[in-house]
Amino acid sequence: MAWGASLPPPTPPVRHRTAAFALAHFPPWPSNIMSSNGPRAACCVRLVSFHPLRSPPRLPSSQIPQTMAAAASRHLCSATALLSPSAAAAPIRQRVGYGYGSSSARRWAHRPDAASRIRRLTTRSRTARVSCAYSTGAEAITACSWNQNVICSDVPVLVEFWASWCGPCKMVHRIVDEIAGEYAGRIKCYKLDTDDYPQTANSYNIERVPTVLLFKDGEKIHSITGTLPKAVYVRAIENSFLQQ
Amino acid sequence: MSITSTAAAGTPVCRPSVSRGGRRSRCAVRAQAAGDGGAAADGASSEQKSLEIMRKFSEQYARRSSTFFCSDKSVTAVVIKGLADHKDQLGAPLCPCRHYDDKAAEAAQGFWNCPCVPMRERKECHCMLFLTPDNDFAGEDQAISLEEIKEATSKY
Repeated sequence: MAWGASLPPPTPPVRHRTAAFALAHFPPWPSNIMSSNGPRAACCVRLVSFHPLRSPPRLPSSQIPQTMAAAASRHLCSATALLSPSAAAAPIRQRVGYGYGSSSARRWAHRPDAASRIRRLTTRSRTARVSCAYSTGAEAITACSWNQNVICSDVPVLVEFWASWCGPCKMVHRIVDEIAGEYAGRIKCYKLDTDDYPQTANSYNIERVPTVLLFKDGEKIHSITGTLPKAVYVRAIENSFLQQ
Repeated sequence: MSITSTAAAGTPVCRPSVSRGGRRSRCAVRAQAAGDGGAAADGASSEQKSLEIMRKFSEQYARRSSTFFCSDKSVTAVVIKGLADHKDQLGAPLCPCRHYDDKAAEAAQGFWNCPCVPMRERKECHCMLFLTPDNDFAGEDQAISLEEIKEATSKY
């Protein structure tokens, strides 16, 4: 994954969800972009930096835009609030040189749902380090990646067990996607299709779906079965933060 | 430590079974087998047929059990589609909102075939297909059209 060419040293807590907020936390270091070959790999938090290598347009400093595209998982279920609508993104693409990252950035910019991935940012310096903590909703998880992503995770993990054609699961999907956006960087959210990975479902005694399990330090600490208000899930997550 | 919270979908209000609607008991409404000897001649049409059977069954059962569909009709549509799929694959409308070790065995056993035993006994449908009026998610409808189902399920 070659998105972030040079990630900044010790990052502040990744609670920021808007690029502007992120910028305030990162010094404008010179940085280069490396080509990104694997934009499909999805991650809740992605640090991306774009450096206008070609002479940037002489605009009032407040108008120099920094646009970024965040890598996203294959289906974008819920997007967090955006800084700018897609209308703003089109002209920006022509004005800003993307350096080596341009091809990939453009490719992403043309995708139908690019609007939700492109953010505009005004900055004071020509070279800005931009951090984009961007969530694309809960990711699908497989039995193979279970150990790595759930058991070995250093942040709490929320896993929704679902089945195809289960009506309530669709409702819980939406809730989990929202939570994934709101808690990006603090917890990880995954979905597991019980029909595809019955062994995993069996090992956690999943009978009814949807069932949402909350893991911390590889241990199941909370189980929520059925469709409940979002507050119930949020409370469980907040509790998991409190229990150290 | 493990905490478990469970949704009370369909609160377990044990009402005395009033014999509503005359002679037929409310358990009488079942998904009809409807001569499924089509032998999977053409999958598409048998799929359509099951969908229609399950749709009609759901409407009828909702009326007879005085329950209502979810206010979010896409939930209803998805569940009906799931029941129809199971009916096609297993020969019985097994509840799509559960995880089974062995679906065929469950379908043969029948406990979770729609209307499942908890629904028949206590009006508990955790699939949110049949909701008692006191449920927060209950809508006003007891009818859903085939078009609504197709539209809602085409998204997934």
